[in-house]
Amino acid sequence: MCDTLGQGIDGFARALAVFQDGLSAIPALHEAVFDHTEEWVDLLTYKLVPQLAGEGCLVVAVAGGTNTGKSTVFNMLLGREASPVRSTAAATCRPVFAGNAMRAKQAIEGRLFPDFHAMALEDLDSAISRDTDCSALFVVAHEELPDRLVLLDTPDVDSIDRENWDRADHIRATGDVLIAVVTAEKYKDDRIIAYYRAARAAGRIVLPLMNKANPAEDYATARSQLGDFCREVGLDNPPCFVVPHDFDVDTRYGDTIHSLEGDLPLWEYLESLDVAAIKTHVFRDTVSHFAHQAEDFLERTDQLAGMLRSVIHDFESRAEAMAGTYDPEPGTEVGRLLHDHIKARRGVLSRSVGRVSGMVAKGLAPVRALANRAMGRTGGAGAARRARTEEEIAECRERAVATGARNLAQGYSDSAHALQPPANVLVRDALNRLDADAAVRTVVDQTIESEGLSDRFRAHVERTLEDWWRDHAVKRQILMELDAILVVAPTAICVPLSFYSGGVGVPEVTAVAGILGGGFFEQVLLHQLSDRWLKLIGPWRDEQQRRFADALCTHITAPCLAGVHEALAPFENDAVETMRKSRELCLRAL
Amino acid sequence: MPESLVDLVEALSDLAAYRGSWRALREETPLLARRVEELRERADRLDDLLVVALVGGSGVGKSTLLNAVAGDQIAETSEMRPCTDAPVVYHPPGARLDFGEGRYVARSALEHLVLIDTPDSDTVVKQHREQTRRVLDQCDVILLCATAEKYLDEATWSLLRPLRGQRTLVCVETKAREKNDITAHWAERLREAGFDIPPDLFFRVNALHAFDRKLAGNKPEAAELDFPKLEGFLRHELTRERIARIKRSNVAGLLSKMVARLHERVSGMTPAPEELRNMLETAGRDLAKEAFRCLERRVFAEPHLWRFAVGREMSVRARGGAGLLFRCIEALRGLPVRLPQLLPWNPGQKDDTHRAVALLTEGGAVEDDVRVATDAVENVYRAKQSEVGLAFSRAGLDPVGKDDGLEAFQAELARRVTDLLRGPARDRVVRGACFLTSWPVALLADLPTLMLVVYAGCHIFTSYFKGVYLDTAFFYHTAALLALLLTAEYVVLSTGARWIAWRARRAGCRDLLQTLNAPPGLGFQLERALLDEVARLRDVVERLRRGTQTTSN
Repeated sequence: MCDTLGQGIDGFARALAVFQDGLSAIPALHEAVFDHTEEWVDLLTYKLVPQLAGEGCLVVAVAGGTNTGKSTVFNMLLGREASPVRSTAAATCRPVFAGNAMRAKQAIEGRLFPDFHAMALEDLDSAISRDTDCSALFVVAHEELPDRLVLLDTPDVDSIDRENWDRADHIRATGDVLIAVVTAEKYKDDRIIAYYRAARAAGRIVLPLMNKANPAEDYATARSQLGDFCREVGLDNPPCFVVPHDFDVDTRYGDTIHSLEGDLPLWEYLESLDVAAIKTHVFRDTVSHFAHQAEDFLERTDQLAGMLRSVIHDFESRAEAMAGTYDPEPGTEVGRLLHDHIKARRGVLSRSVGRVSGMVAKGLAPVRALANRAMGRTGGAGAARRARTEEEIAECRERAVATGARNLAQGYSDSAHALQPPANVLVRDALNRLDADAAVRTVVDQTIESEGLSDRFRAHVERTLEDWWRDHAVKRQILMELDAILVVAPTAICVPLSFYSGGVGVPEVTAVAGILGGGFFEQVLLHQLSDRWLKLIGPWRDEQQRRFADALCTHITAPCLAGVHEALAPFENDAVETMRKSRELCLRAL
Repeated sequence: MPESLVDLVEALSDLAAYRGSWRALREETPLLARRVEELRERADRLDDLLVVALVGGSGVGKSTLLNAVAGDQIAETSEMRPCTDAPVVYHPPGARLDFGEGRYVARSALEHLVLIDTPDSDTVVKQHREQTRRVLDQCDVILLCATAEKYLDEATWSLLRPLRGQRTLVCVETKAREKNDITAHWAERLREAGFDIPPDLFFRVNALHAFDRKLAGNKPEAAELDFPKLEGFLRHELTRERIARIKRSNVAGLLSKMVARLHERVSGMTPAPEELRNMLETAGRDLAKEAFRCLERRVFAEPHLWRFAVGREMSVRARGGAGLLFRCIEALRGLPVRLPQLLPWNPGQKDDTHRAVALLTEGGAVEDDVRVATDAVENVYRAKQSEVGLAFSRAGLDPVGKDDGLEAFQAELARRVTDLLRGPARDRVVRGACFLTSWPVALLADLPTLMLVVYAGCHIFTSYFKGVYLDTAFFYHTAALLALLLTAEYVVLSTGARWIAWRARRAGCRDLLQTLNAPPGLGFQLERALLDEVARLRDVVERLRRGTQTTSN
């Protein structure tokens, strides 16, 4: 049993350390995951793991509220002032350990309480000084103590010095038997009751001790108060002890502490405890308590991871949706492609004429520009509807991309504060770090940069055009004829006319008109056809949207989610899985 | 209630009613509203009784202290914890009080004081803590009771911490004995936590002893320690003035804490409002530039439209023969533009440019919704708005409706351009037309024709009397010359019109740039209003802070 259990606990502790280490960089998440886990993590660290080292001895811890006289009781058990006593509250702030020489040596070597920094108590005041090392454990050697018994004096659990609480919690995890020092004022305080209830749940043996009790009428008051206390904590009729109220700091520490019935000195009771039985009992309870708590913990861990994943999913799907609204204008690319397609299918005559007139058109480009301008200007109101230039379209596209990217970032920023903690903090921090301008610029560059037609798309258009060409015989015919007329007609008219006019005036005009007509045809193809045949643009648009979505995900969503991804990393490695398996191993071993 | 305080509370309640887009402030409003309510209540009760709450852990002897002060068994006491399970209110007869459920004992001899014994703050009975918290909310003075075991209990301290600076604290060690004085340690820890309590407000008493002695009817004894002093403090030192002072300082403490918190919340805003404003200005300028570029390429880039407008104006005012001719030709020239508008079956011809021309020629005679913002400008606007929106969102301001903003922007742009076309641009066109059709110009233009007509008339007349018969060539030549002269006049007038149109267009472009850049910047009116609101609120908070500082001084 012990081997499996040892493996289980050890595995769990290791995985937990890895997990904790992973989360330590993100305080908000660390807090969310490890909130209310101190108790069983302490159990694991301070009890279960050291227990396996096998240095079995009964640890008796004196615990209780501030100024209830824990140190006094500790000293009375030892019969001398081993732990400093003060009349002010919250005096002891570092635990004090007492054991015989061998145990003291073991303790100082760190074999008994490996997570404390043990040191010999040379000066009484250092245990009450708030400046000493937080994890310090002061060791006092006391020869009269038997091998199997060590005593611990602990800081309080309820004062305003919260760091004392943590240490008290560690001690509770360490101890096997807790002497609960209460007084008439403190036996029903919420913090105190909660502390012992937790100790009880984790299988500790709790021995109530009423300090400063009124001895009148055979401790009648103390009796009922202790009864109340036991009920609250859930103790089943344990032996209760009393220290009368006339006992004071200055009194000698020689007096023995008796049970309520007066027949059983505390010291004798402690000595009579069966170490092995108690150890087994405590150990079993502790492990099952630990396993139970660990289950809740793992469940919460899953929930948190699920929440973080859903945030990631939500953000990514929003980026996709944003990319889906991007509707790029195709520019003139598609029309040009169509024109090329028609050019490639020209007859011999129109091809050669087209080639020549193409060359001429190149030479006449300035004239053509001038003519276009004139047309635009004299076109009256129609000029307002003039087709937009390539640059304008590109600029428009660029702006649309930038707008989309920024709107996405704004959407993230708006929704960040509505997210559940700790995701909201993570996202907000990431957003604050994000250089939005640079990110948007990169998105624009990446989306626009290779906006030209990819080979895949070109092939697709070729195929679609091929199909269209085959299926629409009439339209094809019209297009071809129109093209042929516009290409050949000027030349056809030009030749006879120049024959008559002797080559002056008319032919030149006709030639220019022909070239303008070609331009017109091209424009028709570029702007009208490309708009109408959305089927052609579909894949191109999809491709653009895909690229936009990718750019958004890489440069906006990913940086915004950097914190969340980072936070999720510890959940994704196998630490959690190991913990789960180790826990099951422990349960099986029990 | 002092005047300044009323103002401050009013200003705070205005802030509490804020439901706008500023998230940081909006998140504060529920708390603020509660605090304002409390402040009002407290301010109203400045002249009222002083409410003293006895607060402390279970078993420290709050009830015993109350009994000792009253000299009678008012509150129950017992060895078992917790004992008191509802507040016990010990007040002078006739006072009307409401502290919720509890026991009201109306026979206090303390004239201006209400003493309330609260349930404990630390046992497992959680509702006691709630009851205590409720009493603490309403009390003016806290009589903090503690013993050596309980003076550092987190349970009690956690109740006190939020009230730091808002309540007068009196510390009483209730079960004091001659030795083991905790006062120094207690005072030190309290000071560390920010409670500065003068030494004369620390009392070490043995309440049980005092109570027993009072029941027996004896004189005060030494074992009661400071009890007579505490009684004296409650009976004599808490005069009306001191009570009023305590209450005022409580109110001031609450107010300054509230305002300090508010100030902290609203002052940290990244990017800062100034940066946001700069951003809006830049965005407005860019927008104006883009709008100018777009309009300059359209309405303002059509010389013939301006020429058309000048022609229309001139033909209305044309004078003389040349004017008549000009009017006829203009009517013919304008036909293609005007005819589609005149035809009843073709009403949809009015596009933006046409409307602009109509504005230029007819002033206010067209409908107002001239939509001049084209797709390109809209696109620019959306881009700029996304920039601004992101910055606003980062600064914690809720997003403004995107389409509302666009509509407002379009309306504003249209208004500015319409005003320009209707106003200065049209004036310039009309002025030019008036000049060309003025009497002297008309006369000058008609002079050659007139001279020719006069000359021809004279010649015909004298020839008639001389008996010389003029041959037809003379008439042909005169007619040809007349036609030539008329053509020349028309050309001159038309060139003048062209020149005026050109000048008007250039001046129009200049004016357009000016009107687009005129303050307030173009677009983002909603955002601007939001920033103004934020600035105003920050001002209010800043004023409040200064106000509270002077009040507390």
